[in-house]
Amino acid sequence: MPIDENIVNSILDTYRSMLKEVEGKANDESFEKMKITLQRIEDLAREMDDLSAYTAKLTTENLFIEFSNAYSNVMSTLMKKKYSNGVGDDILLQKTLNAYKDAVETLKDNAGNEKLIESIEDLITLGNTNISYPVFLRIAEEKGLNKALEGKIVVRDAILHDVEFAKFMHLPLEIEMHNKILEKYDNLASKAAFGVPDSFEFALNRQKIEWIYKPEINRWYMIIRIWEKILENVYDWLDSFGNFAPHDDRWLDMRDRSYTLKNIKRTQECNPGILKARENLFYEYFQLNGKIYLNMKHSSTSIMHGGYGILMKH
Amino acid sequence: MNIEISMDLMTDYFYNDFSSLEEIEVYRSAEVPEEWQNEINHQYPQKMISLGRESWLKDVIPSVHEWDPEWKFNFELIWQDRHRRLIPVHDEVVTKRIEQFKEYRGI
Repeated sequence: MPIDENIVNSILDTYRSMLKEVEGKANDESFEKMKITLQRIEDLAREMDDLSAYTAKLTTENLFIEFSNAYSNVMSTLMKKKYSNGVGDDILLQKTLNAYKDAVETLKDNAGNEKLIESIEDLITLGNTNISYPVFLRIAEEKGLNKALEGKIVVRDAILHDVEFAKFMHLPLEIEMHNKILEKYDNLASKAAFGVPDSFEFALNRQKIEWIYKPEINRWYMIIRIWEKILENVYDWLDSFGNFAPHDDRWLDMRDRSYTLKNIKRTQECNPGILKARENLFYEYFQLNGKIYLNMKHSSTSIMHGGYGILMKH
Repeated sequence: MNIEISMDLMTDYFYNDFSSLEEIEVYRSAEVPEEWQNEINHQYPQKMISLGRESWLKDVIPSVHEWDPEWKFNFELIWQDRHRRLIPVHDEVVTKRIEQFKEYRGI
């Protein structure tokens, strides 16, 4: 008994519609391939009685893929015919301008794209001056409008933003690195025909500068990370003696006050030993001169490291 | 070629684990009153190791094996300049951390 017709229809109707869509419009090898493949699929549906075996057969024989590939070829041929009827350049120009207009609409949805939009609108204006597509492309190249589209202003602004952000975050190595990237960008721009560096050449130079700085930046962050842990340890220890400690999230345990008090006791008794271990780690990593002095028994803490010192009392 | 580069970048797992390895070392070596020794010096580091091994087996390995089913962490790559230059500590520390990394990830 063949497979249920309703099930077969639900699987094959899409493919039948695809064939119907191109019937009468195409008459090439790919169209024939579509017909033959679909016929094979229909034949198998009648010959086989098990749905799983049927779908497995379609898969192993690559029938759906072959049908889809043939369909793609047919559509591609039809599109080529459509756009090669003597007015191809006009259509291409119109399509290009439409794509730019769509891009502008999309970019308007997000702030910060004003300069990029401006560059695209310059191209749209040029395209609407009743010139042919080749002339449009030539003028766009000559005036460097295509280069502007690659993001001359946008890229430079982004680098400037990186510099400012690094300054705001007090990251000296990053400030230096982004300034060098900016310098390289300006240097390449000054030598470029339209004042815009080749994007690939700039990307290589940028990567090289970042490569040079990466080890030192890693070292910087490692020092910061361990220092933060050290300071956090001291702050927690100091705060654990405050009268607010039993209500502070760092120690508060909702189960019972005795758990909270135990948490506070742990911090008070263990943090000095943990701090010492962190100090050892810091010294092992960097062999920096200086030492962290703690005098927790006397309710005051003095941290000295190089020329940097903090004195805390509670 | 891209897969080879991706596999090479798996070496980053070692340096990325440094903060966990440091915490385990700090808690194991901290001198604390006897009352707290079991919790601070043993339980806490052991819990971190359990979590490290679990995420390695459940998340990292299956994800990497989708790219290369034969992949195993290659410790030799750590010493290649492109990776070694990014780890800002002395060789002795790197050697120690490699052993800790093996324990932490159960390799």
